[in-house]
Order: sequence, then structure tokens, then C-alpha cells
Amino acid sequence: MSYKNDFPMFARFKKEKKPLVYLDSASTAQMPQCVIDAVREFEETTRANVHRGIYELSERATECYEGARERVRKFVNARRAREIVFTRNTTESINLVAYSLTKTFFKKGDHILISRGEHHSNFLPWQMIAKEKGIILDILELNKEGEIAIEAVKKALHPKTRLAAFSHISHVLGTINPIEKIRKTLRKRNILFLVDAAQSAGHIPIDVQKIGCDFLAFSGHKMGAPMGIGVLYGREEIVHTMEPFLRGGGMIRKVDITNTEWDELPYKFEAGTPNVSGAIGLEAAINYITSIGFKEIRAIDEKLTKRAFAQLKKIPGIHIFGPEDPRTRGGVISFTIEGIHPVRSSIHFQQDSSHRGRLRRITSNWVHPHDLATILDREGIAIRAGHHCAMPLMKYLGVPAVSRISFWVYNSVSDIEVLGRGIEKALRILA
Amino acid sequence: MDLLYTDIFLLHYHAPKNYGLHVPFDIEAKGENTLCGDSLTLRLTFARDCVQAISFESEGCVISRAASSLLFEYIKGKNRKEIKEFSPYALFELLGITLTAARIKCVLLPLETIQKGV
Ligand SMILES: Cc1ncc(COP(=O)(O)O)c(C=O)c1O
Repeated sequence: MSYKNDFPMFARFKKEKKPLVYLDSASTAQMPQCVIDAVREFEETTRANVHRGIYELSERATECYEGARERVRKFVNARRAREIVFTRNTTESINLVAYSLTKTFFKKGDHILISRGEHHSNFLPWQMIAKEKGIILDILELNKEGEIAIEAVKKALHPKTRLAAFSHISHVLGTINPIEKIRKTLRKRNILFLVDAAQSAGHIPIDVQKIGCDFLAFSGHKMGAPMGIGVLYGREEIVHTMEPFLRGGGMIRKVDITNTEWDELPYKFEAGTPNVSGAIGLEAAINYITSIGFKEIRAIDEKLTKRAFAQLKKIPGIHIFGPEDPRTRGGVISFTIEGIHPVRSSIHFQQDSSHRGRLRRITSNWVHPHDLATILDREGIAIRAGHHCAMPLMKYLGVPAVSRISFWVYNSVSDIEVLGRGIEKALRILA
Repeated sequence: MDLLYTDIFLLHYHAPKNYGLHVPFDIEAKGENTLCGDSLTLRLTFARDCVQAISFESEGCVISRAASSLLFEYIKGKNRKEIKEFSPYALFELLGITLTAARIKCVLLPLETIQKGV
């Protein structure tokens, strides 16, 4: 079954009459019609501020907003709706946790553990508080497959490690990290665990109780919801002790000139008027996802990954990062291509594990990912090229940039075939 | 007309003019675009105030290298003031290409590097 027709973008956008081949869902997924309709319905019939008005419309808007929260709770299997905080995106969710924990939880000399593969969103907030508070940020190196290995986690832990933050699925390498096993190791030592689920939400089921994490963050726009709505799950036992991140309206119980009592969870973390229509859209996106089912979504990701590997491997000089087995990875594939005719002979780029973490010289005859992306764009093919907000990982891979393709439910085998022909054309031009 | 990735443009990528650093030289300038990993080294020789010889080596994308080749060939014989005053718009015209916003920095690298140098 094809889901492409559920997404109006594919009927509306044409690149010089060529159909859109959208292979950048890991950045932002397209939005199905049902989500667009739900948002529009809310704006046309129910729009009002929440938790404030005494009038009916405001009450209805509040009910919709809280209904969306309940839907998210069920989606990630949290115990209580008050463990679900609406934010703008993954980035804000992680910043909230980092900022708030520095106020009361972290002490000078504490350690935080993250991996080399993290997105800057799960890197810079920790780097910031490490600098400000005298915390030590430990970086776990990935194994050959680009995975976070359990043994490496055990080794990297310090007696003073108080929090670990890892991505569920790598947005560059596609690896699915063994977060449940990691959790077991961390729990023995009472270490808080944050999971960056930006790439997994909408692709594989998320069960925060089964994972056993303390925090989990994701973005609506990567799973068919509007931009500007995101989620932070926070285990109640932890978040109820935390200080608010932003301060303002809608988050207090009582304010006088010198003192304020914060509202209960989750409202103390939702200062100001929230993105209500975004939350409604997220609810609709979750409904859309569950109507397809994770089994089917996962089957699509696996089929396309397998197909893409077969197609890409035919290209001379290609280097694909991450594991090949589609069962152990998400639908995100990054690669580089060496050029065929060098301008001059120079050192060749090779993935060489003996030089981990050191920037190797790049061959001057590689196909620059930006050139590839520009040429593919002219064929109506959207891929991502660049450092992917993961400069420490790029350094480890020994390249300044990679090309990345990623899938969601609307992609098909024919998209991969068009991509294959597009790359061949690009190589004819560039070689 | 857009010349991006056309034969003339690609020729300047595959067989760039003035490629390979010369000695002796009067001035050396280096530029870098850390976001995409492009880097450029250029050397200039002056006769009075005018560029007499220019040579460069670079790593990076097609656009940045072809732009370097085309720009530096054009710049030969020009004086410091003319180089300093050469605008990005004049460069786009010289190259005959249109670029998306994300890639403008690729062609600005050679221009900014030479302007820094003179
Ligand atoms: C793994 C990962 N973490 C965090 C983010 C940041 O997401 P957002 O820009 O929605 O905050 C992304 C998005 O690219 C991601 O892939």
C-alpha cells in the first residue's frame, strides 16, 4: 500500500515538472492531510487560550490540549499525563533538563556522559552547564558499527557520573542503540538517563516504562506533526523536584512581590501560551502513525534500507557509514563518494579506526556532498548534505560533511531507483 | 543563463587555471570554510600595484574550486584597489551562475581570501 497520497506535498510541489523525491525525513517529515485538517479544524472552531478563560471556548480548547497530552502519554506509555511536557522541539526539551538540573541537582566535579554520535542538541546544553558549573563532560567513543556498546558505557562511567544522555537512533549512522541494556547498567549506579528520541519517534515504538529512562525528548515535526511542537517526558519522581526553565504566565499557583509558588506538573514547565494547535496536530500525527502501525512502518524502513544499500553499493568509490543489517538500524543512511578522476594524486580517504577522533586529510577528489545535493536537487531529489549538527562525529568519521538519505512512510522503492539514477548522473557530471 | 555544473564550469574544476602553489611570491593568504571543510591557499606576486602572478591550491566542492579558478584568472593584472572593490555581485556575474542561499559561501571563499590578502 502506498501512503504517498496521504501527503498533499507530493501532489503540490514539482521541481520543473519532476515529482518530488523526498529523502530528508530525518530532518523534517512531511505532514499528512489528516494532520493539516486537525490543525485547521481547531483554529476554525476551537481556538482560545488554555487554562485561563472561564468561557466555553477556552474550556474546549483546554480539553483539546489536555486530550493531546493524554494521547502522547499513551503513545510513549508514560504512567501519568503530568509526566508529559509540551515544548517546541527536542532541542528545547534537552535544554530544559540541562538548565533545570544545574539549579538543584548537579554539583561541581560531577560527571555527565554522552556519546560522540550525539546531535549538537544533545551536546551543547551539556557542554554549557559543564563549563558554567565545573562539571566534567565525558564523551563515549562509538564502536566499529557506530554503536554505543554496553561494555564501553561500563568503562566510561565515573564514580561521579550523575547523568547519561544518548540518542535512541543515530541521526547520521542510523544505528539503533541498546538503550534498555544501557539503562540497566546506569540504574545499578543511580545515574539519571535521558534519551534523545528525535529519530525514533514515529519510526519504532517507544515505551518509557520499558526503557526505564528518566527523560525522553522528541520533536513533532519529524513524525508528521507541525513544526514548533515537541515533547519532554520526565519521570515524575525526578521532575517534581526540578525548577522551572522559563518563567511567566500560566505556570504559577501564587505570586507575590518577592515569592512565587510554582504550579503543579507539567504546567510549571510550560510558561507562557503554549503551541495548542501544534499539540492538536501532534495528536493527529500519532493517530495517523498508529493507524498504519509500527510493524508496517518498520517494515517500510527496513525494506527501503535494504534496497538503498543494494543500490548505493553499486556506486564505485562509495563509503556507507554504520551497520548494514537493516534490522539493527533505522531508515537513515549516510555516505561519501570518492571521485574517479583526481585533479592530482593525494592521500585517499579511508575509514581507518586506528586514527579515531583525528581529522584525516580528505582526498581532494572526493565528490563533495554539497555538490551531490545541489545536482540531485535539480532532479527533484531532496537529500541532506553537511555536518548534520554533529561536528564531533564528523571529526571521528574523518570528513567535514556527509550525504544522508532518510525515509518515512511515503517513500518507495521507486524513490531509491530515481536516487540511483540521480547519483549516476551527478557522477557523470562531476567525474 | 545558468552555467553551474556546465562544461565550462566543470573544466575549471577539473583543470583549474593557476593551480599549484608557486615560489617565489610576495603574499600568501589562506581561507577556510569550516562548515563544509573547504580550504584555500593562494599566493600573489605583484608588479608595482598590480597582480602579476597568482597561484592557488584548494580542497572543497566544485563550486568553490571553479569559482577560484575563474576569479583568479580574471584578477590577474588588476590592482589592489580594483580587487578590494570587486563585489560579490560582480563575482556572480563573472561566474554566470545562480546559487541557493546555502551555497553562496562557496563562491565567497576565494573572493574573501584574496581581499584579505591584498
Ligand atoms: C538525534 C537528534 N537529536 C536532536 C535533533 C534536534 O531536533 P530539533 O531541531 O527538532 O530540536 C535532531 C534533529 O535533527 C536529531 O536528529
